[in-house]
Amino acid sequence: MSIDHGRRRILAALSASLGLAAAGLPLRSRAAPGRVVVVGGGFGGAAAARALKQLSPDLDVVLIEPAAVFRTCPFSNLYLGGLRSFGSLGHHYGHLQRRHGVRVVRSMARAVDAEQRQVRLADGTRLGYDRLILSPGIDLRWDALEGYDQAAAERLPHAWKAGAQSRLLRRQIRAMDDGGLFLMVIPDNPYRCPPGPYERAAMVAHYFRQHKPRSKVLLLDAKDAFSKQALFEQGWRQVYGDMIEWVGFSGDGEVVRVDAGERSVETAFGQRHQAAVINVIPPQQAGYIARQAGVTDRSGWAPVKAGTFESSLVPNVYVIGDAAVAAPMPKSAFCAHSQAGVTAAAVLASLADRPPPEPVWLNTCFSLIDADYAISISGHYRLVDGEIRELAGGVSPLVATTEFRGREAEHARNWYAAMTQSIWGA
Amino acid sequence: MLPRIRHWCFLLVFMLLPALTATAGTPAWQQTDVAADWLDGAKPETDGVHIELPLVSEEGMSVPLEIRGGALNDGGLREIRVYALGNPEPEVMRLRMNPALGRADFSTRIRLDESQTVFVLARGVDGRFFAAEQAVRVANSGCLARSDEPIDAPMGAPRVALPDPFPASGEPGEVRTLILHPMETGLREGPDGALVPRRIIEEFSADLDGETVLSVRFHAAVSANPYLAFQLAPQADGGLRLHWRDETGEEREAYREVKVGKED
Amino acid sequence: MPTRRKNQVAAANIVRSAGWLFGALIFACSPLPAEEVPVTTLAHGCIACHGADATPRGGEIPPLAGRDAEVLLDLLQAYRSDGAAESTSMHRLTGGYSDDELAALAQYFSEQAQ
Repeated sequence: MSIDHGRRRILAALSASLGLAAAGLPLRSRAAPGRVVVVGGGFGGAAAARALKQLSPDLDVVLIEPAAVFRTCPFSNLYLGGLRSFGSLGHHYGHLQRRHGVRVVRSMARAVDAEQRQVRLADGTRLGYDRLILSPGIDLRWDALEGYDQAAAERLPHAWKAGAQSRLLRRQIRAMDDGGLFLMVIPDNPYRCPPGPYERAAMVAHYFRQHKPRSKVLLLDAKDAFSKQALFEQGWRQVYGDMIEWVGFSGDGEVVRVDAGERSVETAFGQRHQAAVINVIPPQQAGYIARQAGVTDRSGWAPVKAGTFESSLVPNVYVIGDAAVAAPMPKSAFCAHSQAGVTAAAVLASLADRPPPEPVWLNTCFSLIDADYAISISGHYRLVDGEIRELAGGVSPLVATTEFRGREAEHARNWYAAMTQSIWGA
Repeated sequence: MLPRIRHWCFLLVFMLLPALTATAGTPAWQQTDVAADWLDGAKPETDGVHIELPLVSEEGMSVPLEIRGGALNDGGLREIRVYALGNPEPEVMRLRMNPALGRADFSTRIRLDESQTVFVLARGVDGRFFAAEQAVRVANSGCLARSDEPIDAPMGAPRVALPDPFPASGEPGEVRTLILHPMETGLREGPDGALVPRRIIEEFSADLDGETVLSVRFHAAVSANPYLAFQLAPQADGGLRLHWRDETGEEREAYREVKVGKED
Repeated sequence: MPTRRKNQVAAANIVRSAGWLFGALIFACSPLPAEEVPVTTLAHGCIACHGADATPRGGEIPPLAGRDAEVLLDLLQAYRSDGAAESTSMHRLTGGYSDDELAALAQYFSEQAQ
């Protein structure tokens, strides 16, 4: 597809007149092979921006992200368990901007005009694009669970976006009495980080074992099965005895109502549970800008063309990470990073009017049970008959030595260091 | 050479297109004869019943299904059948209902073996038929998965939740039911590699003050620990008796008092 | 009953093969997709754990950049054949690669700056 140079110049002039130059954005170079705007500076978006510049140094790549510091959801459970500092979860965009030539605009994307190929920012600036990559992550569905709104989340934290909510939950866990109950409300699929709630249970238990040994963890789940279930249940038992109790859908685990004032929840079959700390992970949907851009369907998530992650609904817009419907790939940071690599290549091919290259995606999710005990799930995905299929993969063995579990914990730490370094590092 | 081949391809597609699109656009109920005897030549209408499932299901062993069949007090539906043609056995469940339910709205969870279109057929009191369908993409097959559940687990105690009280006389409220049962399909392997014998709950019924208001036939595609939520619109205080029976003849029963709120 | 079941299957099969034929025709007529995964895409999966550079991060997962291609290829093939005793997740991930892809990856990382 050839780019309309006249239109581009007009857009560039328009952008300049609307203050983009003032925001530190130079005018677009005429020699550049185009401009790709990436919305969202998490594992998907930041990795996509970096990959684009690496594969095509002359490309104009703009990353729009409102936060100066990105806090990772991966390892935020370790912070809850006292295994990591809050500061260690933060990553900034300096290297992406200065060393890798990504223009980072610290703003919020408010609207997408797919017709004009423009993104409107919070300050009214309009930014033209040749291709747009949306990696907005998730929004919580405040309407989905009776009694759970933004005000309720200040008393019953979700901590499903790392940041202030993680600190709030950590404070509550530290403030509760020994012997108090920690209750977690877990949604049905699909949601961000399928094994996350169960790792969190272990990390809270890890903290309890040291500081509040008479406390318990109760998980009320809207599902009857979950990721790495047998491994989690075995690990919980081995490390924490009977401290963690999981109740699935068939055991009346589905919570249908929460009462923030009373700190209580009610299940589908009418049981009421009260707890010292309640962590509500509510149902979710694609981040705001994806919904605004019209790339989501009635499920609240963004259907995409399997080989490229271009939106099935809006041309020239790609959606990666948690917001996209990528099943059987899970909504994980690793997958977002993997999709970023494939989609960066697809976007460049599209700009050059070439067919997209053949994709391959990987995933590995580590979950910590204890400081030196981790389990993992991996998958290798390809495009088969137009659909994403898992060609290889698996989970940690059920029978393994403590040394093996310890090495997986070390792998988890190495993965976190390498992944964050290769996205936000120098 | 290539252009010529392409030319032929286009021609072939063009020639076949009418036939193919006809198939693609054909309602699911027409692509099968599973319900031919029941329909007996009738052509279902499309606006009398609606269904909702996830567009993509990550876990085929438990896919939420909602059926919205509308009000029952003035005519309305008498029977609904659910089919999943991509399953080893296409029929999922049959529901026969009485106006005492108030509304023909149901929620349940079903197994889907692969990506496919799920459809329902419904018959009204006047003999008219209605159809609705939805395609579901299934990421993990729900029929053959191994399970850790003990193979000869007994039927568990039922769970029932109902409004206390119902909003007002004749106003529908939701009754939720669940019973622990493996719903063995007869298709999955046990730990020893041998097929686990089939064993499913076949029948479920709800009686309000001695009158059967709902009778349901479950098939193997109903998820383990069958869950069914339905509406009930009692006119006055009374008693609701729920009854489950599986293929081995084992039965469970639950009784709940029904209270109706007094209007001010 | 058996006849009816057969009819259902036949009907379903016709629908499926028609769909398949249609798909195959479209496929045959569209521009041929590139059949090889670009090595940069292949490598993108590896750097998620191993990092893009040669900096050791300590512990269990070694950097790949600048390592000998033959050594890397031997390791990758050993992981894929499930023979490597110390493998945790590597044998699960390598199961999906072809011989050529493993060789391309080994070559690629050997050429990255140390």
